[in-house]
Amino acid sequence: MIKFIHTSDWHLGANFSVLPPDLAEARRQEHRKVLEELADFAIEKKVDLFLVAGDLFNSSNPGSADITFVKNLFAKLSGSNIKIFIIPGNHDAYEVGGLWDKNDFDANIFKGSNISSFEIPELDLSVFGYPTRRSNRHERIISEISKTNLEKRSKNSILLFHGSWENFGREGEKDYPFSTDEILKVGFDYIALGNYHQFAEVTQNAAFSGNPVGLDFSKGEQSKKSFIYGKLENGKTQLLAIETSAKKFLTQNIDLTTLSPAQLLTEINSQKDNNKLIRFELSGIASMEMLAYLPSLEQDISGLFGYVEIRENFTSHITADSNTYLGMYCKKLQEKIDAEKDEEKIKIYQKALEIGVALFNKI
Amino acid sequence: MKLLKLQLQNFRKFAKAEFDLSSSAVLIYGPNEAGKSTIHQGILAALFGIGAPSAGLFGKEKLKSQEGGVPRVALEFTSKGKEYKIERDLEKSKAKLYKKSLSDYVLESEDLKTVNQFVLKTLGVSSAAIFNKTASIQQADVALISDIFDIGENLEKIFAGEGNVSLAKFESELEKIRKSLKKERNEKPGELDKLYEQRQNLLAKYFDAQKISSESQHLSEEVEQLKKLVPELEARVAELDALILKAQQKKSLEQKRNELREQWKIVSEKLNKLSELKEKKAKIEEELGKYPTVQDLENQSKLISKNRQFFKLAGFWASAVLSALFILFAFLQTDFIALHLTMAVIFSGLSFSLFYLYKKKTAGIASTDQLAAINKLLVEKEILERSEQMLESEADLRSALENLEFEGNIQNKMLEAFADFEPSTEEIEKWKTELLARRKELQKATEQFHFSRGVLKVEKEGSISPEILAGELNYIENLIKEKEKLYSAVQIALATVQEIKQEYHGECLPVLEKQVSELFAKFTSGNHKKVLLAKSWPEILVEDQKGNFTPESLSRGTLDQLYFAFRLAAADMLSQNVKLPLIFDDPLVHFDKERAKQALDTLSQIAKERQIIFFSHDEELCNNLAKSIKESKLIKLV
Repeated sequence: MIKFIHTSDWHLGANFSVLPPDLAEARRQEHRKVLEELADFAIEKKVDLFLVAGDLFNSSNPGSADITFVKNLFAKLSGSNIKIFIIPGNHDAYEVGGLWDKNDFDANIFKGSNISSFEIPELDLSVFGYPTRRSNRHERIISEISKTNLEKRSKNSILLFHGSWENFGREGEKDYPFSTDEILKVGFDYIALGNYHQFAEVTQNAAFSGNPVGLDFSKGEQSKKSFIYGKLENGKTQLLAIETSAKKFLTQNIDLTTLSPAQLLTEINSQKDNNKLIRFELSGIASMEMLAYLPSLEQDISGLFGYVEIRENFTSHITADSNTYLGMYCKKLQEKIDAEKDEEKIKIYQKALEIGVALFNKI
Repeated sequence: MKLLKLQLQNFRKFAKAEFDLSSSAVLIYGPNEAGKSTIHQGILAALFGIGAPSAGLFGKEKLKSQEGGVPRVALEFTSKGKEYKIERDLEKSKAKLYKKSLSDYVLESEDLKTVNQFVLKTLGVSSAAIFNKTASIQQADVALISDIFDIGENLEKIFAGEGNVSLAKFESELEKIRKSLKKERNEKPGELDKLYEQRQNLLAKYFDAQKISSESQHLSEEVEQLKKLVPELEARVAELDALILKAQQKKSLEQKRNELREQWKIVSEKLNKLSELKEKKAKIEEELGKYPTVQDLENQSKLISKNRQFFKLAGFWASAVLSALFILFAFLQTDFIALHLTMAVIFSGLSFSLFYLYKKKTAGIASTDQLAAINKLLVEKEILERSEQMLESEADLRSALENLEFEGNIQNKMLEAFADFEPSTEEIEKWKTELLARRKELQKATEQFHFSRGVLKVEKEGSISPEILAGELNYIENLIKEKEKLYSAVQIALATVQEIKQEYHGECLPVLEKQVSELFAKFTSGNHKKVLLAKSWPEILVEDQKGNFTPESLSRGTLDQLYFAFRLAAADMLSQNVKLPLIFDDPLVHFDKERAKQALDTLSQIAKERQIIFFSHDEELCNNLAKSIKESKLIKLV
């Protein structure tokens, strides 16, 4: 039985620029901590292989501190007799004389411009890998690999690949796209995939590991942050997605249409968690009362989360007595909002309306 | 619009009262505390209830009559040719609206909100506050009559709505936010200004970091190269060092061997000399063997001299005794004297001869010649022995020689190792020159290595990576975008305030100007044709035959007329031209006769076009006013 760790998309060196500098720094620290925990897990489980399916670094020119960190991490794994295999991903793509050539990592790195393999006789295993390059990112590589007659010298075979799965809702992906059918035809005992930031089993023997640490508030980062602990025996794989300890980035939508300020506050309060990095997207239609309240929301919810930010995506339809200043003010801005088509400008008018209403209510 | 009848029940001092108001001028007079203001309040309470903050003159509790009971009000009025009635239960805040159909009031609505909205619609105003500030003129307001210069501000207040919001306050609050975001000249930097500065600094840092980063890359490449070069140089230097050392070793071994050879020569010479000395000594000893030993000779000499002494003494004493005996005999035997004497001489002679003979015989035995020869030999021997002593012992010399030979052998053995190593002097010199050069190179390279590595380390430790700075920049960039949006929003808010102002000025002021002018001309019987304000706002100019001037120079009475003109124009404008009844609560209380007369003239003119409800404590004033108005009604309160 071959035991392995399959991980990908570390994006080491990511600068977490959606967060303020001090929190970004904390995230960078955590990033390394989680990767160390991942290595410790591999050592504890005495795995044979450590597979990194691309995007280990966030760029092709990572900082020396990150390189040193990875070198040390791999040295530790190698010291525990774990064999490491890496393919460059679309972020840290292979270039001649680049990152992967310049540095001496204690690992088996798939370089060049084609699929290649490493043999591990003691495990009766061939590990294949296709290094990502920038020049041919739209090609259907998996389809090509399935047509190539690869010489598999060993009984067991694994492929490392960094590409995009065209499953439901994700058609028209760009980087090395492949379909489930194409994957089914390739014929390896296990295909370790990278590029998607959430765990996904494509077939019984092909899976995305997901990334161990979330990077921002985007959709792909909302899922569990994980890596795969797998076993391979007699051509059958058994996979276990292990969740990491990384703090979560969450985006939550709140429809203001039927909410009072107090209800909004209760809603947000109910999520209170210092481990969450959260973004609230306020949508729907805001009442006059809500508009008057919103400028003080940020202050009212500060300290409830590890990090919190508010995105205002709501609209409003204020009708007020047009014989008063407040009424005239609302009417004017509401007219501007209704006449405007540019989303950005609407947001600015909306903000002006919010500021005005809040001010009128304050003074 | 015209008020018809007011009914009060349990309303302050009126347990039950009814007032007929169906005249174009209702003049209500009575002393203080007679209930004038209560009637005024009753009208307002009937129209607006007492819920709205600015609708009431008194609080809810104060409305109740002394006898208690539920305070109720009812008001009948006409609007656009139709008659209505509003009834209110002021305790429970209930209202009923009736509409007159034929001769009966029919209930129209019992819903408070509907009733209130109906009232506002009928009056043409948006709130009770506006009515209170325009149509209902209270004593305190009238005090403002002279403050014609504040009329602009007073008019603006009408727009403020329920919250009494001042546009100026709103504007200044917005300005505060604007200032906190972005400064204008001579202001403190705002948030955005600080962010711009931060961004500037970060950008500079970022470029520095990038420079350092590329320098670092260059440096680390250099360090990598030096990492290889330094050991190579070290190896070559070590090699040269070894070669030169070997040459030196060989040389010193050879030198040592030569020294040993020299020493060996000396020692063996010494040994030769030693054996020579020994030979000589043997000969001398052989020679000496032929002689008695010096000891024997000396012993003999001593014995001889001892014997000689004995002989000498014995001979002397024997001869002396014998001589003396013979002399004595000679004396005793005088006859034989001669014999005896002769005998004495013979014996003494004999003893002397014997001594002499012994002496002569022993003298030959210890001859000085023999001694001298011996002594000579001994001296020679001593010289030899001294020479021998000067040299080491033979054993020492022999062992030294052995040692030397042993060491010599070692040196030879050692030199065998250098058998194939025979560099020429030129070669060695070349090595030395190269070594010197290589050493310099190595030193330089090592220094460069340590320096570069040091710089690299400092740079790595001291500088933030460009990626991190790029992240911070990105964050600040987004923050700036957010704040800029906010700033734009504030600017739009400010612009909107300006628009409101302009609208107010642009739309209201010309209307106001026209109406004020008309009214003022009417009040002054055409003396003043025009009031100018639309262009000069907030300054007001008055025009007469002579031209334009500021109202300061107008008489007190004319100023009052101007104020009434403003008040009425504003009321008409804000009520969308519903001719609201004007309620005056003792407006002329502080006026002198002349000024009051002028005001009365104005009021009588006003009464031509709309209903006026006039409260006063002054009966005469009311009578005068009644006379000057076509249709009027006097109510006296007691």
